Amino acid sequence: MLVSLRTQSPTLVKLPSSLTQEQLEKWASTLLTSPFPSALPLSSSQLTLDKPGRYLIYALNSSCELEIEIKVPQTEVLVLAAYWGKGEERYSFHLEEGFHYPSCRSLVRAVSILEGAAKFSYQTTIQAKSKATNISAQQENYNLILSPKAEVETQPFLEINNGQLSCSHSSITASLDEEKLNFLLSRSLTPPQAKELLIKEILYTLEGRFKEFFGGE
Amino acid sequence: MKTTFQLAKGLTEETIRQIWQRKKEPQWMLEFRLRAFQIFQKLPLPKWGPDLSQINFEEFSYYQEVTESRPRSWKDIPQEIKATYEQLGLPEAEQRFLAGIATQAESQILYENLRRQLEKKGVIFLSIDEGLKKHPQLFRRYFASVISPADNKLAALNSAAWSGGSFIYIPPGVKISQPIQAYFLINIPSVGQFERTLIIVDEGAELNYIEGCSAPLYHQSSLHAGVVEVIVKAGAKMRYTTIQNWSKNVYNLTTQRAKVHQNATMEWIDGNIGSRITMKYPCCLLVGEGAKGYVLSLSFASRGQHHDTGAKMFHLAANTSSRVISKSISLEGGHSSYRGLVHIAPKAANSKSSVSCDALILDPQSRSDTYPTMRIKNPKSLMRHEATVSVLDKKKLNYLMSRGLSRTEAEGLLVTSFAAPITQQIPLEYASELNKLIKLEMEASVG
Amino acid sequence: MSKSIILELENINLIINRKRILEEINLSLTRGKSYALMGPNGSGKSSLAKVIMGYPDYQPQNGGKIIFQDQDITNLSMDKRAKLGIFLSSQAPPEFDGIKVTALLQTASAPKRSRLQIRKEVEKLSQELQLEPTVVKKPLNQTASGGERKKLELLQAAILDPTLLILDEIDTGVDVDSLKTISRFIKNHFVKANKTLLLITHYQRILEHLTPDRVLVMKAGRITRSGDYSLAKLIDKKGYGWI
Repeated sequence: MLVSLRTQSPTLVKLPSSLTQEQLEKWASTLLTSPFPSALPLSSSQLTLDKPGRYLIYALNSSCELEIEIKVPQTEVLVLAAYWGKGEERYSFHLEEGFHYPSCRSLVRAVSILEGAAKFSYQTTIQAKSKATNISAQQENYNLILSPKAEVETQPFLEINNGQLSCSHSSITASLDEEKLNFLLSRSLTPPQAKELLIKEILYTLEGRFKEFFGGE
Repeated sequence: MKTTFQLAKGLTEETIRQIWQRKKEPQWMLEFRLRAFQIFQKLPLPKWGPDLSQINFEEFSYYQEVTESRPRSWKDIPQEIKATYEQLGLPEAEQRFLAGIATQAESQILYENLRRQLEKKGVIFLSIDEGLKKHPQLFRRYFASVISPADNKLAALNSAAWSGGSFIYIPPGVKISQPIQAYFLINIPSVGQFERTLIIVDEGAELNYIEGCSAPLYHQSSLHAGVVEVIVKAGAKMRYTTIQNWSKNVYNLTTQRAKVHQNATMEWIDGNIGSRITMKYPCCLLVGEGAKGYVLSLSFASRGQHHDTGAKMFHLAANTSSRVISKSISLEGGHSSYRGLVHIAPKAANSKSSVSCDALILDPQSRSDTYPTMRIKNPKSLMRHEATVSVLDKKKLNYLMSRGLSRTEAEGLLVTSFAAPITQQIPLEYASELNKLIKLEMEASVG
Repeated sequence: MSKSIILELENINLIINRKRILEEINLSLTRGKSYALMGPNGSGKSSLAKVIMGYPDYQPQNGGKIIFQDQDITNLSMDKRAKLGIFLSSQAPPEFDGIKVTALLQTASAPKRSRLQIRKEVEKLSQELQLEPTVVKKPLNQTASGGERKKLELLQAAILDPTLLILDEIDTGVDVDSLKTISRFIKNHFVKANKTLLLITHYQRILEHLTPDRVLVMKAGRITRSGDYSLAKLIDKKGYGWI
């Protein structure tokens, strides 16, 4: 029974330039369960990427204050974070991502599950400088509030300084999805089982995004 | 319009007293203005958003009296504005009126019927100065009940120096089916700098109010700090549409807010085309259960323009819902930003909010930002926010051009279809004018 | 109640948002038989299905009763009704973002069956349903076509092994070949195993494959006609207007 999320302080992983489907599956499934072997804990809040390649930055149950400057072209950056707050816990995910050069791709996905009187603050800014053309940048935030005293504040900001990119952000804060909940109950899951599965679903989306982002064309 | 009286430039306590005296207002209004002036002096300008450092508050004359008796000359109207009127195909009578040329008599004839009909139903539709005089109790009950002078510096300035605007009261159950246009009915001279509008829609009533027009207006004063307060009572419906296309020397810093009671609906439709700098965030305070708030915002920023617009929704009761659709277009180095706040309070159970803001950047020099903030303090609520920033779809562009449209025509079509979710909500005449205007602006940028 | 009656609906009335959705529904379903429930759009067929399943907001009013296998389940929650053996296949099942069908079934079947057992059964049944492995490995219903979603519903039914199956428009959005596959599957896993079937459908296409023992027709919230299979053929020829 999944009752909590392990803690992983912000970590940087440089991925090999190509991964087989099996390797991709294996990497994805370890995200939530154990640290990557080739991972580097991020010691400072400033990260400059100056070598092109494929990067993963992720954190679990560990607040993030990060400024990522992508100072090379043709680079892919995936940022994943998950927070499961209970009691009086406070988590924050503050990220600034700056694109300086063309043809880069990035996805940021931060999710939170909040019980008790936990609080979560989400703030991201994507900046694309004038030379950063042909950029695709996506931000996604999903927050599940499970109790009356939990609170969320989200500020997904975009600052776009040139006219050649596509980016989007979305932020959704909700309680348990009624439709999905009813569906699971109609399939004989008890209310606690259904709730647990819906919480797991949110955490598993990180695996899904990892596979989509680094796998396939 | 001829100015018959004008105060010396600058704002002091003495200036305010003079305004109060000339307008022959009651004592409480003087106290209100002076208090607001003190607040104005203390509050700083916002540090975020467009650069307001160029505004010199000492530069303006804060009060003018104008008469309609001698019309301005058509010769005095700037050429670009005349040309646009032509291209928009406005009927001559309207052209003259919009340019401030038509006499009061001319406009009165046009709209006398409508005014009489409304009076019969008990609708109060007056200039705000008359409203204060003729309905003092009603006025005092609601004035500044939605926006306090302490809200922000420009609201404080307006509260101190306000003059001109509309006062509207719709009695319970009265539903006005046709959209009411401010200019034509009240004959407010051109645009007042510190217009103040107070609208009360009583229980079960309905009003659709349009302020402004898409034709460019030559605005002499370069600061417009308006305040619009709307009260929508239980079960009532209100739609307030603003289409602003002021000349590009104007700072448009308006505070608009509605208090929405039980099961009532408030819609703000906001079209920002003109002005040099716009800072406007129509706001709904959803104070009654089942209250609904909507903001549809369209902004079009071209060279030298910075539109910082958005919406604020406060869910303060259960079962409230809000929806914000924002479409912004920037070209030729224009800068367009969405700035919004959705706040779901602890007692706002079962509230839903959805915000979608899309920005279209037409060239590499232009800029678009989105700054949404969501604060959720109630677990049984649903908040969804989505934003996209994009450029014109090359595939679609090529397709249209392959069907014989020129590049400019194709771009114009894509842009107007981008704006369609908003323009479809505006009365047809305005919408088609708006679309024509957008196309004209785009053509102008190619040249 | 006779042991051969599996479901009894007594005086079911349902009003939602001041609209009358179901009116005085009285119905007995015999164990092991197949029923077709037909009727025009808005006649209340899906609502009746949700009442039987126990969806929130679909509680019958005015003292109506639902009796399943001699037990009054009127006030029983949905998950308990599912555990007793009622299965409702949705018209439009929700799309999940991170839960695979295997995970759902493993949770529902634990501890009776191991996770490995479930995985193997899912594999076998997917093949029988001609479901692509990629579809089964994705989160449930994510980017799945209409036909694929209906097959995934039946896969779940086969593993959960209910005694009463309500299939709401299992034939809608399904191509000719898939319809054959689905019908065969229903026959092999449910009809032959003496399960009770309530097929909600518009078209009589599926009824050609799965001949019902009885046809019920609903109109404006009431059951207005009942007959044998020939009633369905008549409706197919003449439409609902003449009823």
